[in-house]
Amino acid sequence: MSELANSAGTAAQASATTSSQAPVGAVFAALADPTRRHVVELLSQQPTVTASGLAQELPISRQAIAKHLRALTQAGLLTCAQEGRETHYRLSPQPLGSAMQWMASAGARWDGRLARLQQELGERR
Amino acid sequence: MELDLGNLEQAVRRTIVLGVDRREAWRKLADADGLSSWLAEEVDLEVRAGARGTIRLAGDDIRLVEVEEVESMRRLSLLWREPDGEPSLVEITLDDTEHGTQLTVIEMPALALRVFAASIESQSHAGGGPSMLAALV
Repeated sequence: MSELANSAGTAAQASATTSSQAPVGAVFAALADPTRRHVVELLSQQPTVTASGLAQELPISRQAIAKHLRALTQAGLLTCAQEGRETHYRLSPQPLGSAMQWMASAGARWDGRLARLQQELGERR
Repeated sequence: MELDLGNLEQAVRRTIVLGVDRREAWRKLADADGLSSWLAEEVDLEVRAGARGTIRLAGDDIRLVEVEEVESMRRLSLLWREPDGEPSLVEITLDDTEHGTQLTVIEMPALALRVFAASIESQSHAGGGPSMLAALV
């Protein structure tokens, strides 16, 4: 990856830990993993999850689950609260909404560009 | 609310069929003049791997651009970002079809791409395939 990506990527990662509004790239990065997507999808159907609850459902180690939960929390996708002996994780929808908004916005821009390209090539034929 | 996040793997993906052959379609990707006719208002960029430049979208929306990869007549990969923004990787691929040339464009935040690429490499040990984004398609 180039210097352009590395410098901006590092800045994005840094701001992901210091800002309540995680960069879109950090959200996509966190959701690159199918297990993490599954956790987020699960949290769209139930209010909270716990590491021990996920350990019963998923075929991965408790340590791996903790790592995934940490990655999602750092990306701003989850908030956590200690309740008794368990940490309960809850979906924080704002970063996910930002990612979806980015996709819709970037997609609409490409729709416009590709329409221009088709028009341009059509006019020249 | 029930989410299906499967489509996040490709972020933005669009496919169209152009009614011209691949050589003619490539002319629209091969240099700044071709790109400026559809991609942006102004393109100041040499289309060769490693080249850096700028493009101006509508209004004063500027993107800093770096050419990641050029495979003549086949693929153009650009890394672009707003001056204070996060970089995205854009890959435009041309394929022959019965009715002309299929153009596929994928845009994905570069930070996410690195995670995907690491995941793909750890699974396949491929050691660098034709394209990181192509592996996701």
